[in-house]
Amino acid sequence: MSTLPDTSTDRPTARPGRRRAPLRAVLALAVALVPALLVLGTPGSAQAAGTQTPPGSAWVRTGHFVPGMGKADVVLAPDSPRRTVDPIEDLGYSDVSTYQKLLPGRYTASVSAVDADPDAEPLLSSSFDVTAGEARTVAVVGTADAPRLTLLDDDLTPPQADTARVRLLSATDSTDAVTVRALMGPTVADGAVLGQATPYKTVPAGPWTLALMGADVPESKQAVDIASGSVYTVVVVDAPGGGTELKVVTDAAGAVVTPKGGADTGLGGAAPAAPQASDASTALVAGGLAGLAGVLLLGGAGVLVARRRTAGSPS
Amino acid sequence: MALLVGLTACGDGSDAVAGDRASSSDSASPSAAASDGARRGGSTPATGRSVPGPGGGGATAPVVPRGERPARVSIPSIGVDAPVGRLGIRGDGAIEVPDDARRTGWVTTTPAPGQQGPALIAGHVDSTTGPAVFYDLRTLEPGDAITVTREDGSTVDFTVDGLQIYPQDDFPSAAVYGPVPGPVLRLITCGGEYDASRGGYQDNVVVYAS
Repeated sequence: MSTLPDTSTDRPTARPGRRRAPLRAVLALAVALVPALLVLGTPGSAQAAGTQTPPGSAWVRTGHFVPGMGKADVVLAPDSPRRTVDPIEDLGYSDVSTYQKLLPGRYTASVSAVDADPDAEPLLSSSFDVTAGEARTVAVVGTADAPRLTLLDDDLTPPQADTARVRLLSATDSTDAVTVRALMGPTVADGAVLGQATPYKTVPAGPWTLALMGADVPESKQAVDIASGSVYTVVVVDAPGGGTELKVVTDAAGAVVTPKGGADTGLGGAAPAAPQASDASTALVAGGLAGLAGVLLLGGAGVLVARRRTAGSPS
Repeated sequence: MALLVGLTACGDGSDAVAGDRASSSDSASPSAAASDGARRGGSTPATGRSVPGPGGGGATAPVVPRGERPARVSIPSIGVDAPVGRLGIRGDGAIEVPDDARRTGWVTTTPAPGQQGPALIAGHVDSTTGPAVFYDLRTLEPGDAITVTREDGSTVDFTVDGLQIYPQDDFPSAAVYGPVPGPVLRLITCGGEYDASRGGYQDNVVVYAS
């Protein structure tokens, strides 16, 4: 989205030809640049075996999970001087920022108290690498006496149908270990300790009542709504009025019902060399693609189109 | 009106009935809603009305407040400015497709554009007679702008991250529909070879934007 601090233009590009060319230009191209037609022309010819990783940036957010520690400013400084990343300011206990889009590369996270001298060394600092398509949480964890920075991997694996993935992160020092269990449902985490995220667990989607238990805190219950196809972190935090409570953070949202396959969004009326093709230039490009030998040996658009109709070698 | 007949045969030659829920179940067309001054700026409280659910399975589509649903999609670099209807999931699990070659459709089991996660908008590459709304989708480049206007008149801006072309028989559902940390947009149409004997187009063009 436009409000996010991704200003880069150096993402990789690979694409078929842009716009339909006039007939004359297409004919000239077919003669002069026959080999190039192998990778231009119709969509699908160039990169039918597309990568399984969506193109784009990495996703990084920051969370403050240290009970008793004041508000902090967090700076994610890229190694590349051409890039800038908006700082996260006034991050308070139990706050989790929205995800920022970051270009793949190396970054250094620095944490300072909001009232710190700007020239002072940061309280905490740590470097990390991110790659396209992955999600990370820069987590300030531990105790106020001994805070530390850790980098959490946020799982983007699609959950199975009608399920979600949930992990627990304890940010309470009211009790040594916490267990969170869904009433009439699965256990989310058993004996989770301060500052450590549990592995993700697959749970059935739906409204759940989560019971929070710890040796030194009264049991509490909390209603949560877990959507299928999404990924969550449940954070156990000290409640403002004492005791503990759960804060559900959505790591990633997906389709509630994942469609099967792609989309049937065409009827062939403008397809290359389709019988009722209305676009002669498109048909000629397709002819050039399917009958490259024919381009040189036979020539003639009519022959090319005829060859294309019978070639039929789907990608 | 010839365009309204049988717009279902991109990949599998299926004769399933196409559905564009916006045109059949919504009294106000998306374009009318977008220009409706009473809704502009989100002054109307969210009704929480449920959107159509999928054709199968136990899960239902998330409730998206009416004003936050997409109404139009604009892609200036390829001259697209089209209404966005609503699409569900067919009985066979595939997405419905717009019943009008000039319209696009938001798949209601995906997040609405601007919400966290991958919003999916589908449109035809062509009809039986010529190019359709997403004919030039395959020419989009990284950096191209896409704007989605919501029913309350607000807009969500996206920038193209990349374009991928996938064989329909090896479609990477996880990459296209899987969970995403931020608000992103996927545009999908047909592409590749058109082989009438094999159900039509063999590929899908997917544009990734965020």
